[in-house]
Amino acid sequence: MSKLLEVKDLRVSYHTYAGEVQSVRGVSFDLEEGEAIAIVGESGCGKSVTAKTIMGLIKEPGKIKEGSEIIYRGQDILKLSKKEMGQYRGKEAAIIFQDALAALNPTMRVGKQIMENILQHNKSMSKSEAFEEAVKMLEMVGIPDARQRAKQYPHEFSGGMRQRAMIAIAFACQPKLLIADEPTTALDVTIQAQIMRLIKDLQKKLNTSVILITHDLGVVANVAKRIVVMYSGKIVESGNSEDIFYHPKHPYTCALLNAVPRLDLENKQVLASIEGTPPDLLDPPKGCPFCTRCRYCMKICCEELPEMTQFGDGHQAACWLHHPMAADCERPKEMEVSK
Amino acid sequence: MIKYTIRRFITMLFTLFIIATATFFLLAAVPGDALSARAERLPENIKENLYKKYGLDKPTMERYVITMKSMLHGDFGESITYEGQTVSSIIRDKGPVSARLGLQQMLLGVSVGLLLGVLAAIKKGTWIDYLVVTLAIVFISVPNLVFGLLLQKVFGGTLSWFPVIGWPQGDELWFGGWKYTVLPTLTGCFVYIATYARLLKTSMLDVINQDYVLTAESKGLTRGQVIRRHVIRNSFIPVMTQLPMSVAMCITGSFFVENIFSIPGLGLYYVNAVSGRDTSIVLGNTVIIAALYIIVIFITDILYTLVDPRIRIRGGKK
Repeated sequence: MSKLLEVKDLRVSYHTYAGEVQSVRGVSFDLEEGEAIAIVGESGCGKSVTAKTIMGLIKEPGKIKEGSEIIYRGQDILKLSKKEMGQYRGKEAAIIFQDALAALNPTMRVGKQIMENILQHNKSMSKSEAFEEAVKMLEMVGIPDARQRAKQYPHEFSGGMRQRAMIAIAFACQPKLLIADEPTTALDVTIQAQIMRLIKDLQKKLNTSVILITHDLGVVANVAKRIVVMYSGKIVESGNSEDIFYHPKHPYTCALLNAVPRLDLENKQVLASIEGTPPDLLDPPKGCPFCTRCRYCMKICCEELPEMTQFGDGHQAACWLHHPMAADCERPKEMEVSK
Repeated sequence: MIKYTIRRFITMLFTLFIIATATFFLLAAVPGDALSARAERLPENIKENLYKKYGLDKPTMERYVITMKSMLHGDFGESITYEGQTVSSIIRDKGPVSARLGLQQMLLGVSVGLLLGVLAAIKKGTWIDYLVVTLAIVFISVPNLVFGLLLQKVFGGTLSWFPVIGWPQGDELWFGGWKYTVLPTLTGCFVYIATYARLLKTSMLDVINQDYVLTAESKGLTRGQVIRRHVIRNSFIPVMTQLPMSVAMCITGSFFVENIFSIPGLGLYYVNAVSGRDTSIVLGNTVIIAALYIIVIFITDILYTLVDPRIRIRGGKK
């Protein structure tokens, strides 16, 4: 498999009146063709900004810092001209947003919104051909009466169908890369499962690479092969989903996993949560960003950023607990080293 | 749809009834009447006859019933100050003058305003944006009679390009005599420019930040395509609420502009009627103008459904 996308040292800041908010602070990961990865993290950790940057949708006051690179098939998309960007968006890469109702134009028929994408990248196609294509797309994402539905407006669709329509728009030109930015957050659980299955099926069928962005580890499990855990604009851990789920190497990942509600919880047991709030990105801490909320925080954590420690098979985590000198320190039980 | 129209029509009649009643009693409560100035110097018996002729000798309630009855039959009564003129004849004579002036002002003002609004929104934060905003503030805060006098001075006086006063009459009532209409139209259009430029700019900036604009961009559309196909239509919805008011306003005329340029329009006449206590004229005009407003609002409600598919009129079959 060859690399489709390489994100290298991505830094994005928003310049506000209060100062520079460093939303993404040096994120690097890569994605192979046909692969699905997940970026997981809580609100404000920079995952959506990363997604938008890959689509080239960062606008004022957001700014991508010098030295950041997003290499798509050997080309840095941050250096594309406007015209090349227009060909990249929609044709090569597509995005699905969280709230499909807000992400669909309320005054344009659904079919037309799909056609728009098709026509933009197939200049020779006639309108009626594009309409047929749009109907086909709606059928593919499992919308019944697609021909009728194509003539309706988004508000006439149910929540799940709107997200399906969004997916139809995204897949209209069979992109190589799909970014799903919290595609199921606004939906109820049964619909969530359907939408995730749909995305997974289409990914297999069309051999699309998927970046799934979510705060819900439960959603990720059977879609993504690899998981990237982000915290306050940085990657704290990444690796295969089995490694992340069964052998987490960062206290934050452990805490996230503990916070996933389970069916076998006792009746009145309080749901686990992570105490405290993420650091202020106007003035990020110089040490590990998680140190103030970490139960295993050491002195060094507040003073110096931990290096990435490699555990083989692409599994890596940035935590001082993996330093040889911290071998005897207390750590989450998932992270215990078997001796 | 038919049910809806009927319901709207009934509400409209009810509204008109309330407006007519309120206007009538307000006029009755104002000290003095149309004849008091004239009658002062007349002998007692002539005065009595005069009052009797116009029915002003009767008690208020009785006059109210008589007025409402005749209004039901479409008779709004005769002018007291201007012998022989009725409400319908006045509207027939003066209406078109005000309507042409108003429509010209509105068409010019709204189109320039919308254009500036789009420009300011697209070029947000540049000098164009600031220029438009400044112009809008100036246009909306300076009364149009100031602009009128300035334009008269510069283009009518110093440069002598256009006549200072007057209005095309007769055959040229609707088309023709353009040179007379230039200055009044300009004077009146500034308010529209300011209102619509600001309105459209605000609503466009609002729409530009919506998620569906991001979706449109993520399809690879150019900026122009995104603005044309996705932003403009959605940001026109608030403009549509403003438009009917402007249409009605332009037909009822603008007192200041008509006054400055001596245009024989409805606005000027209406104000004179109020100060002259010309009850039947004021009442008739008010009811007709109110009816006009209500009809225009009804038309807009239907236009809404064309712009925004989310609004569908209920009460019909579907």
